[in-house]
Amino acid sequence: MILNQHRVGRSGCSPLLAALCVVAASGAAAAAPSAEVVRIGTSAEGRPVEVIAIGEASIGADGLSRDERPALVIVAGMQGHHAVGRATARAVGERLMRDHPDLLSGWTVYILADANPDGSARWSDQRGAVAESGRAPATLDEDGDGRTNEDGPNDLNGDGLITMMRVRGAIPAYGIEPSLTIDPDEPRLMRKPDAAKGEVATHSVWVEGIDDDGDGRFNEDGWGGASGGGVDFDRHFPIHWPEHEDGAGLYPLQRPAARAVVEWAQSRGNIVGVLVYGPHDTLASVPPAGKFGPLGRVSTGIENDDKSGYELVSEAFKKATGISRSAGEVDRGGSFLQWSYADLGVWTFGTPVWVRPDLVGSVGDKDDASAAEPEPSPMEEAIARDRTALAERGVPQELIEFIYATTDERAAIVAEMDAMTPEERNERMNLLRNAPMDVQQRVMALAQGQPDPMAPKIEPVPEPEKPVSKPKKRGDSDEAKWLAWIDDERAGSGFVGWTEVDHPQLGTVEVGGFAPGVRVNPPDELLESLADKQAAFVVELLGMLPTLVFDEPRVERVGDGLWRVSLTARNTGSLATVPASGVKARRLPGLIMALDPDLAVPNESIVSGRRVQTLETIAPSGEARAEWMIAAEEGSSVRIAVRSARFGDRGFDVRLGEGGGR
Amino acid sequence: MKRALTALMASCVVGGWVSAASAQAHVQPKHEIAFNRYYTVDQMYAHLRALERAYPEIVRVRSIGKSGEGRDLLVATVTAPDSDDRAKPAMWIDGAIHANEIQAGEVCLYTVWYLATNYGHNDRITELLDDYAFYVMPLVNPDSRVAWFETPSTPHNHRANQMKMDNDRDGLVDEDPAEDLDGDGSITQMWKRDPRGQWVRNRFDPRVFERVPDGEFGEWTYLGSEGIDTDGDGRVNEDTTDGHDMNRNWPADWQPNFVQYGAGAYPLSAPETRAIAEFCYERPNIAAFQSYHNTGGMILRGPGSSHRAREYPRADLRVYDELARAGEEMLPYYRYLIIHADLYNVHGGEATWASEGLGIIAFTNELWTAGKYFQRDVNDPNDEQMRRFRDRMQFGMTFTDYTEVEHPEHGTVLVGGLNKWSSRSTPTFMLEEECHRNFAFTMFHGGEMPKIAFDRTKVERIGTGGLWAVTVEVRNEKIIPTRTARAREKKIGRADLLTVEGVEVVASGELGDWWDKQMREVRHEPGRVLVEGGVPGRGSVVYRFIVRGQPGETLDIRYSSEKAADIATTIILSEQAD
Ligand SMILES: [Zn+2]
Repeated sequence: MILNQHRVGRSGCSPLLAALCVVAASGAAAAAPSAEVVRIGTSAEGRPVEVIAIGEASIGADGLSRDERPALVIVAGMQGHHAVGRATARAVGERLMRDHPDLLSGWTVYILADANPDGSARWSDQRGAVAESGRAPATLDEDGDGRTNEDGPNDLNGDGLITMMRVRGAIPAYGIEPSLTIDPDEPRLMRKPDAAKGEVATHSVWVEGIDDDGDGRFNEDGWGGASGGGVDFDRHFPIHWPEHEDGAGLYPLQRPAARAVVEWAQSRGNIVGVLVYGPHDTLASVPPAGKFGPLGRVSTGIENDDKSGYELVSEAFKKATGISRSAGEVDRGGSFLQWSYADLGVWTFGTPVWVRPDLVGSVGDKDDASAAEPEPSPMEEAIARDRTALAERGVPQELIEFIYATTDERAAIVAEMDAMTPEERNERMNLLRNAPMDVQQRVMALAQGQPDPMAPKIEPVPEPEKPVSKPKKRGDSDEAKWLAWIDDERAGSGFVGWTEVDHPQLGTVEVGGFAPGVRVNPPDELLESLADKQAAFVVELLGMLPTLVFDEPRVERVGDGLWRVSLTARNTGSLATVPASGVKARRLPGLIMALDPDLAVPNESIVSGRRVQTLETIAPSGEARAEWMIAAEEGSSVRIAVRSARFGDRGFDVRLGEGGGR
Repeated sequence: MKRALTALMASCVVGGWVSAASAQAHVQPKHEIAFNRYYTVDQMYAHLRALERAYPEIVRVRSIGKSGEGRDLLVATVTAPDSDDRAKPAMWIDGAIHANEIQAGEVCLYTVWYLATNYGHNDRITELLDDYAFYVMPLVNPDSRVAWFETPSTPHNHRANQMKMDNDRDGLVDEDPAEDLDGDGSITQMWKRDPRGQWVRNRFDPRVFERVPDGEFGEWTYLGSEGIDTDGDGRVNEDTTDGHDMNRNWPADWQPNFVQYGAGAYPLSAPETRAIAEFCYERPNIAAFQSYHNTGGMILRGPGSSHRAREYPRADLRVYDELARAGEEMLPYYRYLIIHADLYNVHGGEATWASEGLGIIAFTNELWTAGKYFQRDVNDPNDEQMRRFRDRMQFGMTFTDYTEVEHPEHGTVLVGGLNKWSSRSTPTFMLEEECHRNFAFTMFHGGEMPKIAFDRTKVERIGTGGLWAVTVEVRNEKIIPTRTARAREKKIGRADLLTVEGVEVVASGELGDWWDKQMREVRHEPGRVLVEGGVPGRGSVVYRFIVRGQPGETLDIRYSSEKAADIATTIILSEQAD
């Protein structure tokens, strides 16, 4: 049935990879680009982590070898269930070799197609029911009860899929309260009730399963369960790492596969660009510029100075792929993408490769802007209005924050109050006593665990539930659009209709919802055309990424035995040689032009100019020049050494004399 | 009484030593160590091995990994004979992650030596090792300690590890190390005779250079620290063998190098930090943490960074405060300080990782402070006073006299000044006291790790249907709770478990106190209660189980915590006098 269609790439080696491997085996000696599979590490479960290095293997006309030439890395599979990314990464590599050998004499392309092999193996080889998770499996005690992985999801309706279960009414024994209502326009979907229309909540929605360990909670500890289980590679990298949150791991890069990727990337100074196939998008819509983490230093989106570069690339992406609007997931910190941009310090782009088909359209589509900056939900708007109103009435910020804190945060504040000395507590209480009566009531109610009596009209979603629908008009919600596509293009295959099941603990419940992966991976027949489009974009991207060329060194006679020597480097790309994030990160040296690295010319003969000159970045179509004044005999020669991890080392021998130079 | 008994039994186990009451002065160590001197890595490791040989039942030394340069990373496990260190609360103690902060190693070595020597002889020490285990790692950064002892150093280097690093970002690695031109083992200062110089030498004490008033000329120019511009880039010693600062390499609030210099390639990228972290993650019984540094006389707690100021729950701060206040009393001239508020922001520090990542009580001690030179009224001695101290108390050992050296660039220069033994290391004649006072504070901290016991229990018959109410109280006699508020808040580790077996448990719940009637009911698995908050410090929790059974039947009650030794009790269902 529907299973295999949205689980492309189940087997370990795709036909495309096989093709690459054949080329690699046969083409090594030729001057033409070749591919080589390099093992860079081993996953926790013992699987190889491999990079396919594509490019001219031998020293080329540029005097550089494959690992010295500027490189683009295509990374896929951080999320194990993102099979489309893995397949596309390999297919793009194959197309580059087949159709663009010329490009590969100036560029190296590294393809890391399966960055999280344990996650992808878990997704591909799911025994029993298929659950939607891209995480690497791990032995975890997510609920801290001394038992590991004891309560994962269960396939209640026996369809081989873990979908959702919807529960009618309240079930006090399990603390279940309804929070959603069946969408009257589309009874397969759930949404929050519209209190203004007198609607009431009738259902709650949970991941399909039972309370295996009898602790009163459903699927709270296991792979594919309520919080995901396992380690989420997009929350596992060191930048903005969400410490102690689910999926983050005990520490960043705890998983050897993730660590191998970081160590490999840090050892490859020639990487100038990274393209990530995964849930996060930076191409259909450019990430926010000038937003930083709590220290105000590390970007959460992109640096202001990189904005124009990202916009340029975004335009090229939209043209090449037709994906005109963002459908990426919000990056919650700790992703590979954030790390690659902010710490590795290279141009880093991301796309899900395949998006909901209605998001593909001509560039400049009418909804473009609104899609890029999603409208705040009515709830968010109501809260914002209320916060402003409270602030305008002079309510202390501390109290406003308390009112809108999460349940956990509020519990922490209350616990802190409990632990205070009487004086401290009194001080806090005075803050409250001086507040308006309605604010006092709200704070007291919340402090006692009751609902906010004056909450803005729409009720917040209770935490453990996965909301299935937002209150939008018919056909307008993301789910409704997916459903429309499934109905129209796939004859309904991909959505499991709600059917009643006898749940051993909850009585009669209904099981159904979107099939795992159906909104992540396209039908197989779309893979070829997706790869074509992505390959076209990569070709565009290689044309935009920075490239360094050098003019012949110039020698001018200043006077007898005194020479002015200069070397000019030009960036012929459309992006700066190093993005602003990379300049900030200072991980690698900049472009270094050093006069006479062997110290044959004594310091006192260098009349002007530092012996070693460093340039951090060169603007698009920009140039940078190093200049020295040297006292030396006519006819003698000096060497200028260029050191650049990104663009390769070079050396220029300069003869001091009229018309000198190389 | 119980204490004496335990000690007596223990002393029998180790082989009929003299009985418990004898004073420390009478204990004959099986391995002597002088604590009025400093030890190289080889010497330190030899002492650890010797202690293990002398006290094989108490001290076990193992290597938990290899340093960047391939040296063993030795950890001594110290606990009572015939006991499982992992079944009791344990304390991690380490030193010299900044290798130049050398006396940190000796304090750790002293810790192992003192505990091993006094077990079975001193009641308190015996009880400490009966109840707890100590994991002691004297040298977190052996590579740089070797560099400090064997290659030119200053009081402030070698602090980082010896990881290859392009410190000056010129594309070359370690290409301009320090040069010890006068061969004294230290990097000191260079002066050049210069008729336009700004300095003169003091007429009475030529070791002293004094600045001349503006507009006047002296005889000397200061050239900076001793060395040569090896790579001709105009800078001296700017890319030495020093690499990452391993006290910035830990996962809690790790920040990249451009925010936190020395952070390393990624959290736990150094083999040394990774080995320690993995050791600790594998041992959830580690309930206390101490790291030794120098200098300044401080007992430090986190957070290291102001943006985490609110992350230390008040209940935990009480514990920190109580322990550290005792420390201030035990360590004259030491102050209890908060890293980010009283010093500076540190991201990715080791002890803050223990606090925030492991959720346990952790301190960093900055050993030695200027106040201790004179110990009376002079907390901040001036240069003149310091010279007197060095001359009269240290016989000039921390100063290298100026000598003329031929410098390839500057010609004849004068090289000398305060050497690496000055300013940061405890003067050797005061080292043993420094070791002991810090050891004693750390043992005070470790001795307050949780220790739980069943306190009151009560069995009441309910009606005639075979129902009973069994009420139990679990008490912690120590300051540190079995679960810190931090651990509970961030869901670090597992909750404590209170289980009942042997009878059917119909219902259960927590009581506010012994006399409370209202059960906060445990709705699911009433016979397996998760105690999320653990047992508070110097306090108790009370639970009531409603069970079904016949008179005379027994129930086995067990309380298990990651940070306390498990306890169990058996209760008989019978009418009892309360
Ligand atoms: Zn230190």
